[in-house]
This record gives sequence, C-alpha cells and structure tokens, in this order.
Amino acid sequence: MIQTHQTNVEISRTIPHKTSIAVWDVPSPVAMNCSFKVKVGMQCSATCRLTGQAVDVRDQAGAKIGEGKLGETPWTGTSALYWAEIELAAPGTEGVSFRSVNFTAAELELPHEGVSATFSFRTDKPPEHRVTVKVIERKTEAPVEDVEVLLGFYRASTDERGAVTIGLPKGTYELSIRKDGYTAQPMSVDVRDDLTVQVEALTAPTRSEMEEKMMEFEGYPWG
Amino acid sequence: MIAVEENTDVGGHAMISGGVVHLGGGTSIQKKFGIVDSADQVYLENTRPDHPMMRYNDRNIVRAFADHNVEVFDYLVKHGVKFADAQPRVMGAEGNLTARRHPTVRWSDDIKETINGSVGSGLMRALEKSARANGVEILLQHRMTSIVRKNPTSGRVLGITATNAKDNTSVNIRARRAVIACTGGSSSNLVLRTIYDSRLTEEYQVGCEPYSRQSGDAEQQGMAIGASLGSTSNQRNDSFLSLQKTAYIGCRYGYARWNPESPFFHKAGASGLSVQDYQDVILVNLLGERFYDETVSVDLYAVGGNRAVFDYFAAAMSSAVVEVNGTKKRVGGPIWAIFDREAVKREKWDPRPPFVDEANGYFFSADTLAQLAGKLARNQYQKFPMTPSALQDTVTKYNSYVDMGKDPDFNKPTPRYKIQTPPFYAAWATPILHDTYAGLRVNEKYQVIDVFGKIIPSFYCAGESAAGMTLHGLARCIVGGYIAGTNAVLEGIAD
Repeated sequence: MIQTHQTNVEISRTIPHKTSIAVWDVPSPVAMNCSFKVKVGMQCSATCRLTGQAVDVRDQAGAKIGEGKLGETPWTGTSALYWAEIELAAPGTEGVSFRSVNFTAAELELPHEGVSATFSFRTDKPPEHRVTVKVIERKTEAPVEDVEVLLGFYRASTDERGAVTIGLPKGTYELSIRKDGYTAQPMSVDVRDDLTVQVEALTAPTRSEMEEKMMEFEGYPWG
Repeated sequence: MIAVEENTDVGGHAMISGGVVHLGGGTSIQKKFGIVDSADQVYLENTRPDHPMMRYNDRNIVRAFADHNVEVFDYLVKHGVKFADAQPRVMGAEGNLTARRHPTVRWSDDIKETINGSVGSGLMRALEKSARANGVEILLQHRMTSIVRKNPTSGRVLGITATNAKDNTSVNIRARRAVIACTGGSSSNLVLRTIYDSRLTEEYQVGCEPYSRQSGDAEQQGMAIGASLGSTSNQRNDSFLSLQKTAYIGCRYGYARWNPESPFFHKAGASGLSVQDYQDVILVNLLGERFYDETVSVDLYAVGGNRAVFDYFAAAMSSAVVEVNGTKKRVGGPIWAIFDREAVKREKWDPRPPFVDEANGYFFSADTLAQLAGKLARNQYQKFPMTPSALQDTVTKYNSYVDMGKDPDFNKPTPRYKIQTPPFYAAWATPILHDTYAGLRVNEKYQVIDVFGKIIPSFYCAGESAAGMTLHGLARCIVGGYIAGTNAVLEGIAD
C-alpha cells in the first residue's frame, strides 16, 4: 500500500496597494520666472494613511524641481486623499509647460505601488497693466457681484461693487462674463495701459426659472 | 369598446410629454391669432423635399393627416381638452413652416394625476375622462401578447390575447369590429430598434421611460400575422429627435426631470442634473476617451435641427474600439460626463440623491480620476473596463487644451475649465432614444397592410407604431388614432 502524504504549503504573498494622484489649484497663466504653488494629493486604494510620505515634482527632462510631504488630514470632501502644497518656479519662456508628480511609496509599512501623473500650466509675460472690469445690470445700473470675468486665459470674480481688477501683460483679450441669470456679448479689450471696462449685463432667465418654464407649454421644446 | 393598457395608468408617453399638439389647417386658435393655414398647406409642408425628414413621408398618409387636422382639433376640444390661449409657435427643426404647435393646459396640480407635473396630462386625462364617460372600459396592466387572426397569415383579425402583469394569466378579447394597435412605437424594443439601426443596443434609455415603454408590441405581433413595416426611411437616426442628448445627467432616465413626489419616482431613481454650460464637463465613452465637442447642441430652429449633433450621436455610439478574442470591435456603451468639484460649484449642483442615482450605478464620485474610472464597473452597461490611466490621460490632455486655449482633437470652442479639483465625478450622459418614426405599414384609413401589399381585414394601427410620417409630437398619433377609430366603427360585426 502506498501512502500519499499531502502537504499544504501556505504561500503568503502581499499584493501591493494601488495608489493614485490628483494635482489641483494649478494657477494658469503664471508669470514667467515667478514661483507658484500647486496642491498634490495621493490616495491608496485601501485608504491607507499616507501622512508624511514624500512626493516630488519633476520637469520634462526628469529633474526634480520641487517636493513635499503629505499632510495629516485628507482633502475636504474626499475619503483618503492626503495632500501637500508644493512650491515651483515657472519657466522663463511663454507657452504651455508640463510637469510630472511622482510618488514612490517606498516608506510605507505595507507595500504600495508607486504612481506618477502629469499636469500642465501656461506661462505668460508678467503683468504690465491693471484692468478693472465693472459689471452692472443694464436697466438698473446696479453692480452685479460674483460674476466670473474672463479676459483671455485670465479669470476672476467681481466683488460686492461689481468690480474686479486683473493684472495683465499688454495685448488684446476677449472679455466675457458668466453668471446665472445674466448675459452679455463678449467684447474685445485692447490693453495698452491701465484701464476700466464697464460691462452692461442683461438679465436672463436663471436656470431654475428655465426649468420651471420647461414644465410649462411656452418653454417645452419637445412635443 | 375596450382599451388594453400594459401600464398601471393610462396615457403612455403623451402623459409625460409637453402636451404640444401640432395641428393646423385653420384651427380656431390659428384663426384667432391671424395665422393663415389650410389642409393643403399642412400637406405641402409635411411632404416638402427640402427638409431632411419631411421628404420621406408617405404622401397618402400625410394627405389623410392634413385633411383631418381641423376635425381632430375640434374633436379634442369637444371631449374636454383645453388648449392654452396662446399664439401657436413654429419650430423649424420639425419641418413645419406654419405655426401649429398648440399647447394643452396641465390637467391639475395633483402630481398623482399629472404623473410628473407634465402638461401632457391636459390631453390624456381629458380624453380618459371622456372615454370613461362614454362607456369605454380600460383594462390596465394587461399587455397585448398576440393578435388572433382567422388563419395564421390570412383572414380577418378576430381579437387579441393579453397577459395580466399581476398574475401572468392570459385573457382572450374578441373584437366585434376591429383591433386598433397603438402600443407607442418601438424604441424600447431591442429587437425592433436594432432592425432599424444596429447601433441601438441595450444601454440607451428611451424618452418617457420609466412611465411607459415604446414596447413595439403592435409591430411584433402585427408582423407575426403577416403585417409589413412601412416608410422605413423615416427611421433614419439623423431625423430630428429620433435621438436626443440627455437633458439630465447622473440618472438613467434623463428625458424629463423626475419630481421626487412623482408616483413613478421610485422607478426613475433620481431627478438628474441639468448642464448649464458644457464647458464644465467633458464627455467620454466607456473607455474614457473624449469623442466630440461637448458643447454641440440641437438647434430647434434650424431646418432639420443642427446636423452636427447627429455626428455627435454617431461618435457616441461608435467611437469606442475594444478587443475581443484578438479582434477589434466597435461598441457603444455608456457616455459619462466627467467633472470636478469646481464644476459642481459653477453649475450649483447638489451631487447627492435625489438628484443623482448612485444606488443604481448612474453616478459616481472619487478622490482621484483613477479611482473614479475603477468605480464605473459597477454600472451594468459598462461591459468593458475603463482603465484608470485612460481617464487620467484624457483629462491631462484636456487640461493642457485649456492651457492652450484650443481643442485640436474636437474643436470644442476655447476649452475653459480644467478638471482638477477633487473630488471627481462621473455622471451617466448616454444619449436618449426618443421618437419612433416607422412602424406597421398602413393606408390612408390606417388599415394595416401585409407583406404582399394587401389590407389585413379588421386590423388598424396608429400612433408611433404606425408608419408614414416623421412629424414630431402628438398630432400624428392623435390624428392617426382618430382616423383609425372612425373607420373601425364602420367595420361589419364579426361572425
């Protein structure tokens, strides 16, 4: 009789946790040769705590140009996105640049896969002039606050006086606005000096008014 | 007369609709507002060769339609339908040049009666009330599962078999004079809709679902007894409103904004989010790739609508190429709107239930784009995985287009906002199938024609299940039903 001995060998293998990246609050445009800050967040698929882990930022040639350590608490509204703010220097040329963020996850107790991601930003000449945009309601001439003002690539919101001031290099910019319930034709603004531009906005149905109207016959687009 | 209805309530898609009835020819409201119209004008506009939809219409059907417009309008008024005292409008995309859009007035403020606060209730509840008062029996929750003909493909139609949705029992209903099949078109029927267009696979939702289905029962059961399809050129999916960009994202049924108080909200799942500015999102296919300029829209006032939107639908349905068993395969699949926290602020969205449908996999949020891509597998129509790097790469590229101020891939006008601030979101934004524009072939009396060109005795078809016209809206259904009904009552009583 032949006896067979079966041995159960337990093979222990730890699968590294996956990690992923987000990069946000990247200002664009940034002025050439100026410093700027970006936020970099790391997340573990198993929501491991990543506090204190190092992340670095590299240029297109692969040279390290910035680094940071992930903070104590996850970013607001996320479950486990640990983040750091990293200061970087803008290049001395105009145009769109790319940078990579790298996370090696080497110092964690459990094995984690490293990860990298790319982000972009635009560099522009330093501001030469200050353009103040004032948004008023055409009929009443009342200032309109919290209007998003776009001047080419530059963007800011009006204050309670309906005004916002943006620093810009010389040039010609398309000026447009955005606020629910208001509309205005885009206009071209030639910036050669400091100047103030007044935008007369027309009132328009708000989104909720449009949706209410959709439920009534005059606004219903279908059959 | 007995009306057999598969739903728990009456009205079908018309109940959920905007209640706009395109009738002309000189209705009393047209006259009141000085609009000059005639039956000939209705006919000529609905057969015009310069319109991409009207040119395919069956001229005999349109003639019958045109000749009955005023009669049907007066019939509706007589039976309690209230029309708004407002100037009828015209919408170029629909093909009519004369103002004929007559809106009805919402039936009541009771959402149980209007189902979703819908104006279409003004039409359907009035007709229901009149029908019941005139002795029509309405058999709810019974679906027509066969049409009984004397012989399988010859002889008179004798009645139908209907199946009770509650206990699955069947009932045979004998038609003394005729059967009029009007089951609302075929857009919900996977077999039929892929006859017309093989791209229309299971993932596409249908306008007015989940209240009513465009079941295709009339077409399928009709064909089973020898009926023919007709005017199939009308079912081209570059007909205005045969396909539609979803009006509400983040939910399965984005044709209308479903009110949480609606008696059908539990089926709808969520109200959805309306997109004010498509600069706030990118749209990606099931592989995480952009496929078209997101800002493309239907132009309601252009002839035939904005033609570019049909290229958008084509890209939405065919841009994803997957590999199956070593060979490439072009597929449709979900379309996802991808956006970030800043977009939520700009759009003033509340990305939580009841506005979005997380429970059923039509809305997701995540800390990173890579994590978001992985979560999409929970959606039942996401048949192929979206790789985390694919979505990340798409967004990285798009964000660089924002920095460049141009979109070299799809010419989105000056891409404005980066997708960068966590959390990130994916909302169902898959196109909607809307109108059915072809169905059973009928003659000018709406009698169904068989595959040999002969009338099937005592069998009529109307509504979206009947072929012949592409005119968007309720009028072609109502007029067809009226003509079918007035002819059916003239039929002799069966032995």
